[in-house]
Amino acid sequence: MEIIKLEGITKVYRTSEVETTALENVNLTVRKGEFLSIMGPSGCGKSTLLNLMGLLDVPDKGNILINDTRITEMKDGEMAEFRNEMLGFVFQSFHLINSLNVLDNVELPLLYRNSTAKSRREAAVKVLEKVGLSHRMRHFPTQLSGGQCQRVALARAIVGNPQIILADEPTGNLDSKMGAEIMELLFQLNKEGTTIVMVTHDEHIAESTQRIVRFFDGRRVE
Amino acid sequence: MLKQNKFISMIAIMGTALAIMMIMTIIVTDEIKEISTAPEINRNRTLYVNYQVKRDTARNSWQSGTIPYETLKEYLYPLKTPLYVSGVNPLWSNIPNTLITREGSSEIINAHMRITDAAYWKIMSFSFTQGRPFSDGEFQSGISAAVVSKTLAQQIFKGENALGETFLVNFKPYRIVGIVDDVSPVFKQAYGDLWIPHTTQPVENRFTEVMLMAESPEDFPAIIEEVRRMEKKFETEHSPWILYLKGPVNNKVFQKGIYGNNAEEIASAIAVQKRKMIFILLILLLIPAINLSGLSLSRIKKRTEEIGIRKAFGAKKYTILIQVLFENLITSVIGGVIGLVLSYVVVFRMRDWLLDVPADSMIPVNTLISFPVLLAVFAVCLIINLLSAGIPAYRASRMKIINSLNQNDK
Repeated sequence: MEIIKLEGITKVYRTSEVETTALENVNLTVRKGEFLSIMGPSGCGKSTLLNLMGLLDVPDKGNILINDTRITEMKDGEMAEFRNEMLGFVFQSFHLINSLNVLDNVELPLLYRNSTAKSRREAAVKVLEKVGLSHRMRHFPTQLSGGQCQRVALARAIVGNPQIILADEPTGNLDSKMGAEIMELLFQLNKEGTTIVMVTHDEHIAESTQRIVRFFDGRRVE
Repeated sequence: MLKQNKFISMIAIMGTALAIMMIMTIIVTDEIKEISTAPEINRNRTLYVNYQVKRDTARNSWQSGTIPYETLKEYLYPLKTPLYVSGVNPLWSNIPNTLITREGSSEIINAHMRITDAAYWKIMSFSFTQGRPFSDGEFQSGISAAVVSKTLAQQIFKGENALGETFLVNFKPYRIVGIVDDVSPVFKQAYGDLWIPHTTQPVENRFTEVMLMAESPEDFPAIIEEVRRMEKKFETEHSPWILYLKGPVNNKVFQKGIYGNNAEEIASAIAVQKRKMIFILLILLLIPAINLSGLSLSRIKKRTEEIGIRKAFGAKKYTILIQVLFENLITSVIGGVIGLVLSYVVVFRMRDWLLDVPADSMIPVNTLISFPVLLAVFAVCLIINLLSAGIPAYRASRMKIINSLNQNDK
């Protein structure tokens, strides 16, 4: 079953001086439960693709369907709710909020649902145990290593039980050991049924996933 | 948010505090003059007449000034609509100029003397420590009875019991029938060191400011109409002279000292005053709000990435808007409390200029802390918050997620 479907996606970035086509007429489907890698040289549009899948940006042309829901026709509020329910994000530079401790960072997605403080706390503690960071709950991101930060980011991404995780170079800022730990967690999640779409430069990591899609100059190449 | 940018937060709080200090100084000063509290406990249901104009229409000549006792007696005491009508002499100066002494003593004390009537004690609410006010019978009979303040009693009789004793007021003997707690000079109609009846004074001393106390403010139009009918009665009885009594006006207008030769002039002057006040308050609100909005913008810019993260994980635009406004409101409220305290300091230190009272006068606490004042502080905090953070908050809520996230990656 297709969980993500991109039809004729085009994205152009415009400034006053120059126009850059990041993606041109891209078609892509992702099956439910799949672990997909997206690869390509810098500037080929893979992060743009991930941002569009994650509803963090809107395409100039084309349609995006997630779980058979046409996203491009949604209003902002509906899109925010959909993102909260369906998607989790893991970024290369972690994007944790430094003024919040680990527990508060992980609880963040649940703040925007109708849940009590108690249930939010319980869910956050549970996922932190899963990623092996329950002993760091009261620490702040600036007190953690890169690998620990990424594990917090992963915990945040999964605390709301999303169906899809979008990971943009999740091991890009980590050494091989920490990177391996993160990948181990992602594989575990995929085994449990979560669909994962990951952008990566690392051929070795990409080959351990189920499918690789390659891009060049904003177009998909086989 | 306060901890994240301590320096900017401190600047924002102090900026808000100073703005609120200026606005609250005006509001607190007005409130002190307008609040109904003892001894002027009936301000909210009292009308005031403190000025008259008499014109000879045949010769086009004028006489104007405070209300002479004859006008009070013939045309205002007989009014039926007010509950009570009273006239008290105005205090022209902050310097006490009535000579007080005791028989056989060479010591002379200067005091503020108020010349009034029996109805005065019904309109006011003095706190008697001993004795009573002089009665209507004593007033009508011209009996030299006096009420004195606790401090004056102490000064004259130095620890002896003053009640029932005789002392000299401008070398004329009066007997003390009552002693009251000292009154703050902020209460212009109540303030004094001693109170004596009009009927014990020569005619040339009998000029008054008149108070017309109603059952309720709803009776004000009827009272005003009755005063107008009394003016017509004067015209009939003293033609070709006509009489205009300024007002009657409520306490708010009375405190602002607005003058005019007729009702239209007064109404016009009130309208001008209102416009001036609105203009001043707008300036006092807008200038700091515009400056503070720059600080708000700066604080929000530092949190661009955080806003992007929140939106990425499901925060809607209005959620971000409310969060930013609420966090800014906390700064505004802290600034508001500091500003209110500072306004009290300003009113206290500058009371001689703001309230036209001697520099060493006391200001009763219950005139400073009142529900309207607290409501005003909160309203001003809210307005400043909305003005200073509204646009930055709106822009923050509308930031594109991907641009916000990439802000610090650049």
